[in-house]
Amino acid sequence: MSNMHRIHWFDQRIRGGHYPSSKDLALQFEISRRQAQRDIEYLAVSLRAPLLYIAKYRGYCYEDRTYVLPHLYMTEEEKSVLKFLARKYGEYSSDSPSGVQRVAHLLGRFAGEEGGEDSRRLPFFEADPRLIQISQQLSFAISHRRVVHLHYRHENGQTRENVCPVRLLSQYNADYVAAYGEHGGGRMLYRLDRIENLHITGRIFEQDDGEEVPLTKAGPPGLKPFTARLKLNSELQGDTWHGYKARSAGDGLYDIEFYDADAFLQQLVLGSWQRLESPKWLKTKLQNRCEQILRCLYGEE
Amino acid sequence: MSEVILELEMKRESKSFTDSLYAILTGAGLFSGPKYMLSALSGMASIFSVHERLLPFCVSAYGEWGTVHKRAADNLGIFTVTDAGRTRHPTFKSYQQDAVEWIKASLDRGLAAVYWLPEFGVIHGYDDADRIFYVQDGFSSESRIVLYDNFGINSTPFWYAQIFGGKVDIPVKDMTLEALRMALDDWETPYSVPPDRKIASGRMAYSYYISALEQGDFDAHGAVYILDSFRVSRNEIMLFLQDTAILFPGLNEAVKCYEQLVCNFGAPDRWVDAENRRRAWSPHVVPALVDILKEAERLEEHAMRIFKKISGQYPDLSRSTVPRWGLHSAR
Amino acid sequence: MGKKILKNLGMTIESRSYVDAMHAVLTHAGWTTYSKAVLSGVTVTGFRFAVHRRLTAESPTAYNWMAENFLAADFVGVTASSSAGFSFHPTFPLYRDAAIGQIKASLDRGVGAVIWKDGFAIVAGYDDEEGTLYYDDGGGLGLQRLPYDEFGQNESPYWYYQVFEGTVELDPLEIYKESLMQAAYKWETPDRVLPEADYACGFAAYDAIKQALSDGVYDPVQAAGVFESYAAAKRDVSEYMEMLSRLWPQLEPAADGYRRVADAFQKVMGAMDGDHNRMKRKEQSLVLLFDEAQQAEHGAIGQIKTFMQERIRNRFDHIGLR
Repeated sequence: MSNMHRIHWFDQRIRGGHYPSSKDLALQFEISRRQAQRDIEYLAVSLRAPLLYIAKYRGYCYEDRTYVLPHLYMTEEEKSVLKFLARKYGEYSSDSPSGVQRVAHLLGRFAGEEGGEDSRRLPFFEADPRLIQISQQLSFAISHRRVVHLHYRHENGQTRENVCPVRLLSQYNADYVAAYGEHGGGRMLYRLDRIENLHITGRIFEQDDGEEVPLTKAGPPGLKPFTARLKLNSELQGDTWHGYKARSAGDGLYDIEFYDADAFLQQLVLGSWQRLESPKWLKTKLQNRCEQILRCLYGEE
Repeated sequence: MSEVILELEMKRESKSFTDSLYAILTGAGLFSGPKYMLSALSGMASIFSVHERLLPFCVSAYGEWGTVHKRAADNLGIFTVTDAGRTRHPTFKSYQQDAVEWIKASLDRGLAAVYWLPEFGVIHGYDDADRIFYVQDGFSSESRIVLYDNFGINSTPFWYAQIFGGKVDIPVKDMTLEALRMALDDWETPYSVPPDRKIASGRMAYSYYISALEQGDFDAHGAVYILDSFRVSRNEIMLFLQDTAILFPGLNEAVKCYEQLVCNFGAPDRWVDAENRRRAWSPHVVPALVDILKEAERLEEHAMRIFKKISGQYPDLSRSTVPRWGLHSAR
Repeated sequence: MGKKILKNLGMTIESRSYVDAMHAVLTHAGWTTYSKAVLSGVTVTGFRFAVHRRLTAESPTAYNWMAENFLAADFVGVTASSSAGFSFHPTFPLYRDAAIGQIKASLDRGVGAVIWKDGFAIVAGYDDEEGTLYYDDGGGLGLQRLPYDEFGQNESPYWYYQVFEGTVELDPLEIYKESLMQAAYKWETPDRVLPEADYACGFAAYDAIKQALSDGVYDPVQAAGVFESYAAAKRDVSEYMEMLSRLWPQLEPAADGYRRVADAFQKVMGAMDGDHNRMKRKEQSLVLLFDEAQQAEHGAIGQIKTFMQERIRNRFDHIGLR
């Protein structure tokens, strides 16, 4: 909440017996009176503070002196809401991902996951309690590798099946769980909003180390690296060559991945190798560079 | 064919699209003449777009590229196909693969393609063995390499490519008239990419620039880059008008406006802090610069009135008919 | 010298709109099994409602063909490409040749094409030796010849074609939801290619119709054609909403709204009873019917928006042309 620091301040002023008002809040933080009023409402309603307005002092105090701002304490239910939202924001696809992704991290942090910073425009997701509940149950099943009995509504009818859920994800503005059949069968995606009901069985399934769920990725396509095929002088220990990812191509040949051609060129000049098989453009570039250097070296134009 | 490399050289002197277009068309014999002529006839010269904080990217944020770049080719009488989209869209891969094919086909026909790097550059060759395109960016004579699989993926969320085809001859007078009309369109359109009001164009761009200078909140590098681009473009317009004034009575007066404007700005590095070689405004030049900009706006406004008068003497079917296509690109 | 004529590709006219053409081509290609009504809804074309303030005949087809017909295909998981321009432009011959090339290539792939021939029509064949295309405009005359160099020469100064390339897998539920988002957008947003001084869209289109009828400033023949076209569109959309309400019962009130809209338009057509001259005598009752339709549609869109609440607020400025 971007107003937490203001709420804090207001809370401190109350405790200090200063009877702060919305005007004070507005002045202190250079916000509008209306905004200050909203902060106070938030304190009273969402944070359930026992605010009492004292006309004599034209400001507020706490009716119950034992009241403590609850933001440090969250119920399990609140945590699960945040977890749900964190996941949704985390997988929300937009053209300016940074703001939204950071919110996801922030929310995740509140719910006990990875950390983050503040955001700009926050997408709005309805926290449908039924979806949250299903999401929560599936989270449990995923982490405890429990087989789940699903009552699912397909386009053409309904099915009952036992599945092994492995991942929750958001794609195309809908929530899905990736799961595979208890008795074999490939991975399927089930929409959370088509799950009529589910129950978690006591059965535990094996961890599946199989491939990723085949989905059309909604995120930005990754940049593919260039690949140079080099014959090296000796066998490589490990899977990198001077820090560049390398794969054996048999016969002393290695496919080395790089993104920056100029940097890689420098590496070629510095490193030792027997032969540069491909790509042709890299060979040309290296040749041109060498010729240029030789020209300088031998004082030609 | 498995490999094609077209010999051409792109140089960054004007807007990146103009530089690309010039390299491609002159390379293919579809345009002969100086760059300023191409710049003006394509409508690129008159474009002036400014971000409220003078961020440098606005120099290329002049509207829907598909529309602006098609009108450029249209006025030159040259067939063109543009394609673009967002790399995050689920169908990107399939459009990307298509684009790779038609660009190769264009290269096979001896015509290079425009490509958004950013900024705009020229794809002038391909090699199927390495699965790469050769791209000129106008800064280095050595071409950049782009894998087919990386085509369109860049630091922005969108991709853009454009190829060209045959040509029909359009009388110079008609092309010139249309260039004046395009300049008028740009002058009168307040925002390049509505409803976003952070970037202004034409007449409004002046107020954004002046405002930013006066308020002092602007990107130093962007300020210089935008003004450089602006100066080059107004110089192009001046040279173009000098060449074509003979075609329309009254146009001479507009020539004088631009000559005055260019003269007022003086040499390219006049405004830059020469001492530390930083390309940024020294604070003390700002007031003088603001004055010159205000005067420039006044001069251009006058020139536009002349263009409008000339334009009004001839029918304008394209602008008086409601189109069945838009300014907005679908993807 | 090539020749290709696709068998069994013909077009019928329902709404005299793009959907008639698109449906014919995609059904023939086996790329859709949707009825015209559902196609009309899913592609959002049925929801578009714009009129010239004098109710001129071109109103139902006055929109951005390039963007909207592209999106129409996109919404049903079909990739397409198209091009359009003014036929009076000097470069037109270059584009005409390219268009013919694209259309022929599509026919070679076994898929028809959509063109503009003062109305949307489909191309079902070509013959290089004769130098013609074979098209069907749904007028009941079957395939007719169109010489290559006459392509794009229309009464209206536009040329246009669209070819369909392939299909992509889409989630039907997502498509339906997307169409509803777009429908709401169209209801509230004036079309950018139509100058507001001369045209009105969505909610405002009803106002424009009522105004024109009240002022008497319109040509009954043209207006009748406009109403007929939209009556078919509203009927289609009503059927579409009916289908959606079976999937999502929360949409039942919206479906009901559209039922009333379609009924009102039917009554409009009934009032004219095939004789557009009656329009002048029945202006008052027509205005009332359009008012009824407007209220019903307004309510329906409101319900759609409520249903789509979450999606709309997430889309920020990506709504519209995506």
